[in-house]
Amino acid sequence: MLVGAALFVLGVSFVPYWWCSRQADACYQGDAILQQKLARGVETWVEKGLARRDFHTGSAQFDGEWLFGSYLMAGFGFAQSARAHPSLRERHVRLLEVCVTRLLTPEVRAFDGEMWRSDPIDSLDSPAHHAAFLGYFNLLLGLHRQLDPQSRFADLHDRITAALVRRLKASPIGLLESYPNETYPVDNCAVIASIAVHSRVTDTDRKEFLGHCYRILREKCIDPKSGLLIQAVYSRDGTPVDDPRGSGTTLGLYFLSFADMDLSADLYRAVRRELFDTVFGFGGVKEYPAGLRRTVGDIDSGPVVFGYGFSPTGFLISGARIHGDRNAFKRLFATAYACGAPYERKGKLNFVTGASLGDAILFAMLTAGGSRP
Amino acid sequence: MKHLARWQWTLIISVLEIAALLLAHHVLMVKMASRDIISHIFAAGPHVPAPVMATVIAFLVVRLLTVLALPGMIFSRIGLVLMDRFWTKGADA
Repeated sequence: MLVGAALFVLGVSFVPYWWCSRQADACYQGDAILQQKLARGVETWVEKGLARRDFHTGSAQFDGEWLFGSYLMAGFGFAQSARAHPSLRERHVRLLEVCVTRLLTPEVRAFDGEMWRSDPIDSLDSPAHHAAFLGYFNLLLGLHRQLDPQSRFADLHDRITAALVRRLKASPIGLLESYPNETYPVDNCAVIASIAVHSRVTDTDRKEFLGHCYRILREKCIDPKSGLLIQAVYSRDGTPVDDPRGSGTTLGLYFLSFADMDLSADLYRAVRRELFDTVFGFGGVKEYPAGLRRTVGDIDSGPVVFGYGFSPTGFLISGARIHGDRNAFKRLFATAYACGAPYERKGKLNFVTGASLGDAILFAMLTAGGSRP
Repeated sequence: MKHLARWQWTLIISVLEIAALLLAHHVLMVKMASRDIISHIFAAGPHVPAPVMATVIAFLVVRLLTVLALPGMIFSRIGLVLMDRFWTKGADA
């Protein structure tokens, strides 16, 4: 009996991690074939088209956000893989354009419009912030323009960027609201990153303005004790309304890597120090830092199991690759493999537990890094 | 009919168990591949029909058993069969 138990522990301790991390090195090095398989898996969803009814969160608002998130993250994946592999460029730029076009449809824009009672694109001249839609979408437009300087979306890109800059300058706390009276620092990371990318691709000097934005993020949105990004702040005065959390920090550092690599690296180091851990070789990221004994998750973190969150664990894959942390990447990749259940058929790789959103997020996270536009 | 030794029965049952687990994993994987199961994982609640939730939970359990526990199960069964086959036999002799 004792021998059987010892052999069981031996098998569990070494084999699963080894099995699940087999492709991690190839993925870390940006293997073109692997990226192509991930892309083909996502391409199926993108070409077929998604609708709000394809999601079943129980909330029309979250269904809308997930529809938006699926096309958005797919777009990031196509942009990153197009940039990394010239052989994939033409096809992936076209797919990126499909994502942008779908993001512009009324059905995808509706989740934001319903909260603001105005459409995010049609109301660019208004003071309504629309950060939940515009920041992310504008960043994607910037990546497209970087790949195609003659982008047919260039005018829209300029107009959205101008609106975001104007709204940030007018904001009393230097941050934009995602929805009325709801301000999330992670969404502002995307807003600021999108302005930085626009400045780079259009050769516009906004150094002073962006420096001010990074200072605001450091002073108002980063918890001085843990170094993590605060999940939500009051729109009125910018004081914290939620805890510093893994899901927001890991996603925020990914977006900030397009703008300020130092700030992104600081957040990555904080996550590594405060939230990252391994169990039998598998990497996991906790949703809350030590001292905050919260055990439940929400729609942002996903289920929290023994403190580890699904979302922060998946999002940190990008951070590990962007900041050259091969060891953490391998361990997080193994967890994504074990929990994501990759299913390969006909040259397409899909993550069974992720469906369209999970496929798109992992595509973006696994292809993140390399040279930034 | 030839009488099977205990270690042979252990081996047969182990192979059947492993085959059943792998089969269940594959069938559920194919079945789940076309479903939006992330919604049920991230936002489980009364809006999710019970049979759907049961299938999702069954898949997650089978997935974890297959990926995480199966190697340990195989190691321990092989060890026990070898012990039964050689060590016990040696002790009897």
